[in-house]
Amino acid sequence: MSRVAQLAVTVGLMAVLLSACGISAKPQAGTKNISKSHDYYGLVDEPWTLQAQCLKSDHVEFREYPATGQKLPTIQIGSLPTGPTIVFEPTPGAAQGVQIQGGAQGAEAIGSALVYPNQAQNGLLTEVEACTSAGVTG
Amino acid sequence: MPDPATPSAAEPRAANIMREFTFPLPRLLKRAPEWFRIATVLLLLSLVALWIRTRYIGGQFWMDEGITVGISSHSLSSIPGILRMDGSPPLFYLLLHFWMQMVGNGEAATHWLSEIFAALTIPIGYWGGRTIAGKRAALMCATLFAFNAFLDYYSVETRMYSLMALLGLLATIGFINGFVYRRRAYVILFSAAQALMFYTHAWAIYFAAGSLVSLLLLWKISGEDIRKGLIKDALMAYVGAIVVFLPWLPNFIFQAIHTAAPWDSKPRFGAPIQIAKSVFGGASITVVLLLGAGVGYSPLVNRSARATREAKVTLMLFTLFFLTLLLAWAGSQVTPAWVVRYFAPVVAPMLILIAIGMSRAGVIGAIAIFFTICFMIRPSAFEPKYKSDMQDIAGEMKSLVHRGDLVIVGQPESMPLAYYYLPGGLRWASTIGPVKDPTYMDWVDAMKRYRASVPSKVLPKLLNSLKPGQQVLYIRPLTEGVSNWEAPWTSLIRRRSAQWGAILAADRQLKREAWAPHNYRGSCCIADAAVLYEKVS
Repeated sequence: MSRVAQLAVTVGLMAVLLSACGISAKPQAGTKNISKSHDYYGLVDEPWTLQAQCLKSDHVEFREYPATGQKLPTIQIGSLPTGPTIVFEPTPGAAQGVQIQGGAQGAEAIGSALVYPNQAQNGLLTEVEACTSAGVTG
Repeated sequence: MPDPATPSAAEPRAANIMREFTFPLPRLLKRAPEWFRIATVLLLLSLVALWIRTRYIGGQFWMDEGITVGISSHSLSSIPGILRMDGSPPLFYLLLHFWMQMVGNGEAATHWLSEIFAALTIPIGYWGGRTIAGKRAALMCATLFAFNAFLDYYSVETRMYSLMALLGLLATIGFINGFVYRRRAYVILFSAAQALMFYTHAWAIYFAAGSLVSLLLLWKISGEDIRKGLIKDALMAYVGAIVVFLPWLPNFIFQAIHTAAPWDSKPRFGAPIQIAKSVFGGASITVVLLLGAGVGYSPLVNRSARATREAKVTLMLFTLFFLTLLLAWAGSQVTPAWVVRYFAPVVAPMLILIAIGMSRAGVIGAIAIFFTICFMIRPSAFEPKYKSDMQDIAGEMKSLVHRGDLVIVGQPESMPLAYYYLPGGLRWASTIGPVKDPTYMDWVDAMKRYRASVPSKVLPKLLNSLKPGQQVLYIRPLTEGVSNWEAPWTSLIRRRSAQWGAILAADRQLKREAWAPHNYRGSCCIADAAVLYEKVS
């Protein structure tokens, strides 16, 4: 084997070795008490984080809860019937699908959220719509 | 007429740092007369451009096209009156009116009118490039007009933008030849093109203002050779254009006061990205074009080169598009009117500027034009496959709706589109209230009327007008993205659509019968969803 070929093989192997650097051992799926392991990263990524921050900074009173039925994450601003309701579908496409099928006629689709204006005042609705738009692209 | 690329003794052309590039032609073609060779190239470019641009010539209309066809379907005498409420100048609508009488009002038929205007930019671009900067630049110009994302897109849209781009090209040719080269006959061309632009789209005002400031700059930096008679010619050109526009001026003033676009938002600082994407076709091609042109213009770093007339042409082409955009951007901070399609009048100065630069860049210019063709030759890469789903909605609903049924459209300006695709004999309302003529959008004080229209007062009256057994088709926009729904008008549409939807869904007299579209294929622009209800008691 020529020197050049030897060098190429060495460099190639080094690259393969280095590419694995930084990988830590992960507990295998099915491990007992996996959620207590320090290597366990699973968490609930709430869809309303940005929206809740925005509403809080606007001093809008609200509460979060999983809606009945499909347990979709929901934010209720104030109280019904005057407070708007925000229901989070898993994806913007899902929200769009619900709307296409006529399942959320009383809602505005904003990203993955369905905002039900209910009988809210225009000023409050404007704040709620703006907060729901937080982080939404497209 | 001397070839502008030929330097005069008084004004030595800047020394070219790049090696000239000659395209190797077969011997047979070399022997052919020059006019034949040029005609062949232009024909080939036009055919390739048409091939690229006609892949979706029969594609469905979107909202604005529905409005345009709706307005142009009226009698010639009533079009100006309707446009007073719409907010547009009349030229394209009148041309489309005659065009539709000849070829019909189908999608492909009406798209062809825009296609023709876009195709005309190729030979006219060649002619303009030749008068301004010689044969090589002319060929580059024709090529750039043949392979351009903006023209690709708007050549299949039944709107005035390809016409506006063509008029922008004529105005640019007239301006540079008339004012910089002082060929006075071209001043008439500039004036006529500017007048026609006034009659085509409101951004003509920004182009006129941009060209006027450019002219002042030209006066300041020029010697007596250019200044002589410049003011007189400029006065003739601008006053002439304004005089031609005078008959429309009362309508224009009325429109400006009452029909400003409440659907648009103030622009921010993303204009260069918008231009790169929508005018040139993306970041990669923009870099290629700018590099090619930049190399060609590199001799301008020398002070002596900046004193040439060629340098003045470069500066004027730059200021024509830059000042137009700058003024439009500034104006849109007060009255928002900044969307990609409005860039039509500045496409020509930008492309000519780049073409001249690339023609001076030798081999680099040739490579840049080669890559431009490679990027752009993908058929329909810059044409939307699906502009709107209204055709699909109407396709599903047309057999279910009957004469006398009520159609309610959540987005008022989408009504002409729905009317175009749905069968006749239906009654119409938008979320503002009942509509007598669904072929156009009445923008007069629309925002004020929309805010004043309370859903709980307007909708029950409409529903009470239905007899049991009659139906109501509710068409509303899909609003999950935010960029289209930020302006005061569009955010109110989103809200009103939900409020009207809530009343319809809660009404016990109504039974949900059907919904559409069952196959949503996406949409470039605005998409809708529809639900059909029957009044059961």
